[in-house]
Amino acid sequence: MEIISIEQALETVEMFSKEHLDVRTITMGISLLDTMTNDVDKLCDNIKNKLMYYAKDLVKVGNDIEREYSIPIINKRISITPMSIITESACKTTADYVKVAKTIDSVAQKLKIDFIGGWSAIVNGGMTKNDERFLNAIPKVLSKTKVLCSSVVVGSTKSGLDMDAVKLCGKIIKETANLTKSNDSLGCAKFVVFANAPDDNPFMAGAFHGISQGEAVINVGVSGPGVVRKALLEAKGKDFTTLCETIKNIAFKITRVGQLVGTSAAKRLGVPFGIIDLSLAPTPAKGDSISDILELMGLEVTGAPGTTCALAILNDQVKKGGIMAAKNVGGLSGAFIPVSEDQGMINAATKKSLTLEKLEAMTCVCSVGLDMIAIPGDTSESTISGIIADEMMIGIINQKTTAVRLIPAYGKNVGDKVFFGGLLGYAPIMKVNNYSCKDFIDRGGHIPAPIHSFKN
Amino acid sequence: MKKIVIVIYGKDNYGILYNVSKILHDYKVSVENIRQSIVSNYFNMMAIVSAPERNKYGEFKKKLEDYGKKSNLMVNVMLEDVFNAMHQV
Repeated sequence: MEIISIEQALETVEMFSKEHLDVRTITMGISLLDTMTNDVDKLCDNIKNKLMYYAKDLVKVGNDIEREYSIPIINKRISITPMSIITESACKTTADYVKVAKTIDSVAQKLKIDFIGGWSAIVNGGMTKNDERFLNAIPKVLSKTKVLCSSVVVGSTKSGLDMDAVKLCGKIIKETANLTKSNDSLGCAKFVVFANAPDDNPFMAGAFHGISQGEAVINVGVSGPGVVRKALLEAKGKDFTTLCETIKNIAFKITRVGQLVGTSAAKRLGVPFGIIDLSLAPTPAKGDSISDILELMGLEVTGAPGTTCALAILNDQVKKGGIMAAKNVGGLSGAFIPVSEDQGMINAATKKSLTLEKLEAMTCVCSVGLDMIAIPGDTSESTISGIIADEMMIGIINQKTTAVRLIPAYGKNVGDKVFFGGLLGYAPIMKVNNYSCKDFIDRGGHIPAPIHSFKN
Repeated sequence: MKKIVIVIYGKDNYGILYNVSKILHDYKVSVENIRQSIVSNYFNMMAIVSAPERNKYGEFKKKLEDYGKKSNLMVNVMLEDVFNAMHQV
């Protein structure tokens, strides 16, 4: 081994001890395609057996690696095949869906994993009868389960946007908020609406094991805003070329840690290693914030003019540094900007520098979308659908993933706060433009795919 | 077996090297490379050492970390893989 210097050793040690570097998640993707049957009880049994077979050692292996390498691994998760497909023959009523969902949830809790994602439907080309039943049951499912996460893909660049599904998603979000009102409408934090969703995303709530994927796989999501922030402190006042290089260098180092953990986990679990998701994922911990990074670049408060540009730089440089460090990159890869999970974002929203509209602009250049944003509980279904439609179209036109995770907090209004706890943090209720879009949403139907030429 | 990197820093005191060496000796671990300096009264050390006997790694790591806690020193024990991954292209 070529000897490393004391400075390099200290840098590594400090990344973990002071700057919150961690691996956010190792997520095991498991295909449930072979569990399909037309009998609900049999389906539950099949799913249980399959999950136990592949994931029985997931948490143990995660903890072993954490101990051996002294690298914190915050979450161990599972993603499964979109369940609208798996439940198609067996489930006819909401009660059937709830039964299957509760089975998955209880297996996940038994395995002691943090989240399981894949209560999902892909309806960007239109909904089947089963899809509609499946979607209508989501609020009940989310209110009856603890760690199960749900997502609906309503649009894609190749197939356009299904406005019937967008309309239904507004209703799902409102109903989920009402059914989980005793927990500050927490159910909505486990539901995402997507355009151009990737098949191999390890992050929640939007993870699912796409049908293009193999039998089982290990995907890894890295973290590390705190480390980028520290590096930028040293690049203060330098020009943009230096700024970009600094982010790129540090992204390389962070990603290498993810590659090491992922390779090791896959080997021990006897399944292939899939992808590293290069997203910088913030936490509510002090200093572990995307907003802090943007402000260090020279903004007084996130949301000020220049914010979208700063975020674009961060996003692009993280990818450039990470790509070289990883064998396979996938998932969402970029920088997440969830409001409630990032203390800097919370502060900027409280100061009213960061508005819903500015966040929407930022999502044109970030890795996902409008994420973990609390809005007034009395926001109408059609307004929520309108926000979803806007965000989806940004993704569809620009050929990128976009997502919406909104929490219309029951009984709360602008000036109030909602508390979710843990990694999900807390959020100030943000103002929503309440001029009506009801007639627009009520049209229903399908918006055709956009043209891929004449880009302006 | 993989090599291990030990990084220790904190306010200087008597016998840090002595106590660390004693633990290394107890686990039949030999030092392959060591760098140590004191900068404005702060002790800095990095050592690359051989691995202890099979299945003793966890215990060895804990012994060193416990010593760190007792003596108010930052003690980090990591497998060399982490450093290699991060600092070598």
